[in-house]
Amino acid sequence: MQIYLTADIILAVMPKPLLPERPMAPAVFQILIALADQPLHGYGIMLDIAERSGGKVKLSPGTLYGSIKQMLEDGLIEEVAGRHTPHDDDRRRYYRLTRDGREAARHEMARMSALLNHARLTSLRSNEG
Amino acid sequence: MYRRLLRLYPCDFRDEYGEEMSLLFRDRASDGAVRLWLQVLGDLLFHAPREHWIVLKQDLRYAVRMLRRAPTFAATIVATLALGIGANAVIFGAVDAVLRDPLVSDPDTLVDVYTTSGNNLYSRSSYPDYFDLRDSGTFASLAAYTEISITMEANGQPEPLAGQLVSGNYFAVLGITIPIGRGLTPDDDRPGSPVRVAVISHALWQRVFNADESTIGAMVRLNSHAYTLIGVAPPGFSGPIPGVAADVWVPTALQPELSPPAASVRRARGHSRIFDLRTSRGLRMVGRLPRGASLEHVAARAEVVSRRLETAYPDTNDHRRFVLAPLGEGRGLRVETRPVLGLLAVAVLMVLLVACVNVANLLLARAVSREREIAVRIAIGASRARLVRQWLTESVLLGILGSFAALLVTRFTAPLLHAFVIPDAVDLSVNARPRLRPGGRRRERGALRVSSRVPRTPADCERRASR
Repeated sequence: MQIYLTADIILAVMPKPLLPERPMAPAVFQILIALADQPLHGYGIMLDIAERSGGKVKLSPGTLYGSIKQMLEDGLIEEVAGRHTPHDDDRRRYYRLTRDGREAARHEMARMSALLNHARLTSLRSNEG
Repeated sequence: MYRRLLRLYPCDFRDEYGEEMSLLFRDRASDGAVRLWLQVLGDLLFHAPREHWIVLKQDLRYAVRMLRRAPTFAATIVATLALGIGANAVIFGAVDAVLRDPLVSDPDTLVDVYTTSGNNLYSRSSYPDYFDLRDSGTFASLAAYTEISITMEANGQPEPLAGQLVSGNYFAVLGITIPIGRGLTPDDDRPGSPVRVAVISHALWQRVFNADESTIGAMVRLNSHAYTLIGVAPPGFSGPIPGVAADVWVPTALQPELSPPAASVRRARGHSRIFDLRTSRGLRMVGRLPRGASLEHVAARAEVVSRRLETAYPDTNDHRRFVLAPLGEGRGLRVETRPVLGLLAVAVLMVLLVACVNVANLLLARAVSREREIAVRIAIGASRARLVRQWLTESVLLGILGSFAALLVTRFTAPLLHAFVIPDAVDLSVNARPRLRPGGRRRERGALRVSSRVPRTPADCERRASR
């Protein structure tokens, strides 16, 4: 009974696996890209995304940390303990990609690439009406 | 300031990411204060409810799982709440149905008018007395009505209905706007006129005529006579007095054929008309007080009229006085059932209180049995606030299930009230919609729409009748 109850509680809080068929939310993909090469803290992720998109994409704190929370639960990213630069605030928390996260990012890249290839085969590839 | 606004997020989210979000806000201070705050507020308004919704979904899933694993406990609580809530819903529904203002315009200025008869203060009146009081100018307007039995032939089957003979100004005095067709007018109520018109209730129109607007202007047989349906009353209107409901309203001019006097009277008079018979007292009266006049002032004027009639007709009006009472307060269901309904209301409140205490005890006992579960959840990181939120969700879920089950209880207990306390004419169905103030101040959309088939004047009816 105790084991069943404990397992039940854990199941209720465990992350759910990301369904490969479901397109990834843009904010999630942006964060995975930002963390692809190095661990970053929240503000660093935001700056990286803004710089990469030429200022067009700016994640709000709610979107950023809501996504980070979901990605932690889904196992796409993990917190890195004790990563600081000399001038950094001790309270900052750094995140990095997990293996599942890297694989999910690659899967999303492949999905978008396949979609782009399909689009290029249509009349949309040229500027003609 | 931003830290305070972060309180809009769920506490777990705030505990986890609040510090970082505050740092982020500090880092973005160079973006420009106005722009930053606009963005922050928009972000909060969108994302905070979303986070709460995510937590709520988790809590609901967990609550359902826990309740499914304790079905007896869940069923006991739901049944207890259903009985308590259901009984209260029925009784307070009855209280509302009996005590609520009828669908009339400005009910505070409407009064019931009675004629005393011996020790009976609230007796009915005769046609001549009504005419005299109406023409005295005591009231802004005065209508008369009386209940009759009507048999309607519809679809080849006779159907007994509750009807009313009403004066031509009945709907106007009550301030009732007829949404489909038109109401009766004084022109429809001329004694001796061959015009036979009728207004029916909305419920009858839906039940028998399938809410077909082409019914307006159609002929129906009432008590073996052909009548023209000219209008449909608003939904929910069946008369100014609870418990005295009608489905059909016809002019009092048709009294001889729809409500003839006793055979002895007919033989003595040689006809069935009683418009001049002061001894035949079967009319109820409802009057609209003049603007700015108090009930006491109008009652005093009615007293003067009473005395004048007593002097003019000593044989029939000796010691007869007109008595005024606020609408529904003189005599009838409201006054007769108020003590019983009051007692029942107190009783079911006690029942609900006992039910709540029982439910609280059951939940407390269950909480004690869940100590290990709580310990495990705290051990794996759940905050106390999170646990309280979870239990609150479970309790609310049980409350919602109990409320739905209460609807079933009301279905079976309402007939008991009808059997012992409340006439069938009073609608005791539970209505969960918020109710606006009733009365003619509400204007139904399209209320003035009139079918082209509706006879607009008595002349139209005469032409139609002669075809």
